[in-house]
Amino acid sequence: MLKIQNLHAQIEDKPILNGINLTVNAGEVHAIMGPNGSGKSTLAATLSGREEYTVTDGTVEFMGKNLLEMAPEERAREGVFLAFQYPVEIPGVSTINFMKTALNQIRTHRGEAPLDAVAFLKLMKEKMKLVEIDQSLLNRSLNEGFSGGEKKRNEIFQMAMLEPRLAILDETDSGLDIDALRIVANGVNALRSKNNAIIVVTHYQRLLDYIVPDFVHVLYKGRIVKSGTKELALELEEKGYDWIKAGLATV
Amino acid sequence: MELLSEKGLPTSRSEEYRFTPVVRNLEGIFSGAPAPAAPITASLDLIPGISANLLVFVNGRYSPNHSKVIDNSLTVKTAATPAPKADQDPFDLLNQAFADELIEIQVPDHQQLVHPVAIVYYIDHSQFVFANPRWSLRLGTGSRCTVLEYTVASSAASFFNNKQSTIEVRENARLDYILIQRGSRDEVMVNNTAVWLSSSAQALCYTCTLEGKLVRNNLSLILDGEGIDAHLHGLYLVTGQSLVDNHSVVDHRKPNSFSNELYKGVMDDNGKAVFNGKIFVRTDAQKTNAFQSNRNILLSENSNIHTKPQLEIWADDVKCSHGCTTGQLDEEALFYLRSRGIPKDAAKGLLLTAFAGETLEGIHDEAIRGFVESLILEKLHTAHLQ
Repeated sequence: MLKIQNLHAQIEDKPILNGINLTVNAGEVHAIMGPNGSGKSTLAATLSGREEYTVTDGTVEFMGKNLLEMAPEERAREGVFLAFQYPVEIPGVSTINFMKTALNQIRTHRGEAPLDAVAFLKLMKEKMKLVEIDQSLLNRSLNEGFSGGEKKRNEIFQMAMLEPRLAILDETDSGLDIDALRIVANGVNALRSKNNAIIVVTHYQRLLDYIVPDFVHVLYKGRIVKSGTKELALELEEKGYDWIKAGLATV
Repeated sequence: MELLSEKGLPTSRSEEYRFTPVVRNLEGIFSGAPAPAAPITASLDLIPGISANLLVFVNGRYSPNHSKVIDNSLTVKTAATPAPKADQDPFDLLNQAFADELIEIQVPDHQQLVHPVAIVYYIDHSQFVFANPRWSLRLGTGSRCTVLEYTVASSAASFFNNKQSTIEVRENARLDYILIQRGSRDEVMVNNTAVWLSSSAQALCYTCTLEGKLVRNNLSLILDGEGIDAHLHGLYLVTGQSLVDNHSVVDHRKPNSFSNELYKGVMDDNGKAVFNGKIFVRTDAQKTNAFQSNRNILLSENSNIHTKPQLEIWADDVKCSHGCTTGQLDEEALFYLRSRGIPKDAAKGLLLTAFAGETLEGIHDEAIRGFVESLILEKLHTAHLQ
């Protein structure tokens, strides 16, 4: 589904990603871990098409297409979804209105008819249950005045609505208490299928207790320096990132 | 006329018209009396499906034949233009020199008009038109009325509409006053409106400017009573070569009143805008709450805004605030919307619509609010997104 080869990216002349190689197949969950500043969020941003990052080398293929050539909205329509670390507050635009516009864009792209108001509402109610989000919240301006947990649940709600092929969860656990974490993780797990894939970007192991990955990759200085299964995350939790750094220093 | 020639018309050297060269835009086009009106073929109704009391000015002159009063309690009379005073705005004096009558509109005490009052300026374009409509409106004690004011101009010729009006809102009365400026791209408009408010009156004055070559709005609210609730909302979407200048005055003269002013603008192309908001809180006006906010989005490098809040407060126990912001569209918000599959243009449209939409809050009549919103959407779609 996703094939990243030798990806280099920078922001304002500062190289952050220094040759990422990663292949993600349908049905898989990959966790990207790493210390602060290792390039985790940059990887998520580059995949979703943030314009302030410049790709200087390498390729990213998504469903056989060159992802890097696409505008952010084209990536979304092809099935890439980014759950933001810091969801943006947009006064005056309700989540419902926004989701309806977005969903119908994506449906049109897939060759499906736009949903009418009734069908949309039905779908919305179904997906709301997944993340235990209340409709009154969705009637309000997008993320405006939402708590940290509400914002993250809203991200997963949007993911449920748009049914992406590839979801990238950028530090979705940051700022969540344990109950909110459980709700968000349950929502994500309910959306797992053999047809889609998820990349979980996280600093801590604790989210991976709930969203159990098939593969864990450790990012350090813009490269994947270690890959393994979920046990690697536990080992990291126990030994800390210094273990990785020390291991690299001796090589 | 004597007063006017003594004072002269303002140039860019006069502080109040510093950014708005009305006179330069009028040079060579004074042809005196209004052109005769051909039969009106354009629709004078603004909002489909809403019937209104139509008061029609043809080339600046009130036309009873084209007007239609459907609420029996509403009275419309013709009176002589009052004698000019020295402290009047020069364009007010100019209007007085040309307007030979004043149209007096009255809503009696305790009457709630069923239908809005639509004040329509119909401009006949067979030649250049210099129109000087003049009217006054009185809302009696406890009455209620919605006023819609707009221009209907069917072709693209140029004209100057120099409108003067006064509105009196008596005790406990409620006014919704909605001015929609979208007559023509070549319209020059000077718009003097003074609203006098008595105790416990409520008013919303909404100025929505979507079109016009040069538009200058002088709106004054005089809060001459206690317990008044006054809202001034404005929206200007300025494109092409247009210049839109909103000068407002909120004058708190008595204690315990509230005013809130919210003006927002989006400028694109070579569009220019001016906002000047004066708030006076007189010595007697203790316990006044007066707020003002002016927010602007510039979409192009050549667009600009001059904004100037001016608060003069003589009372000591008051709550007043003002703020103005000027910026571009929020890039982070734009990316967020795009990352969900919404194209860039539509995302911009959503953000601009949300930005503009806040000014619509407070229009009581849902049908009217919805209609104004649709005009705003139409303008945003044609002007900014293609």
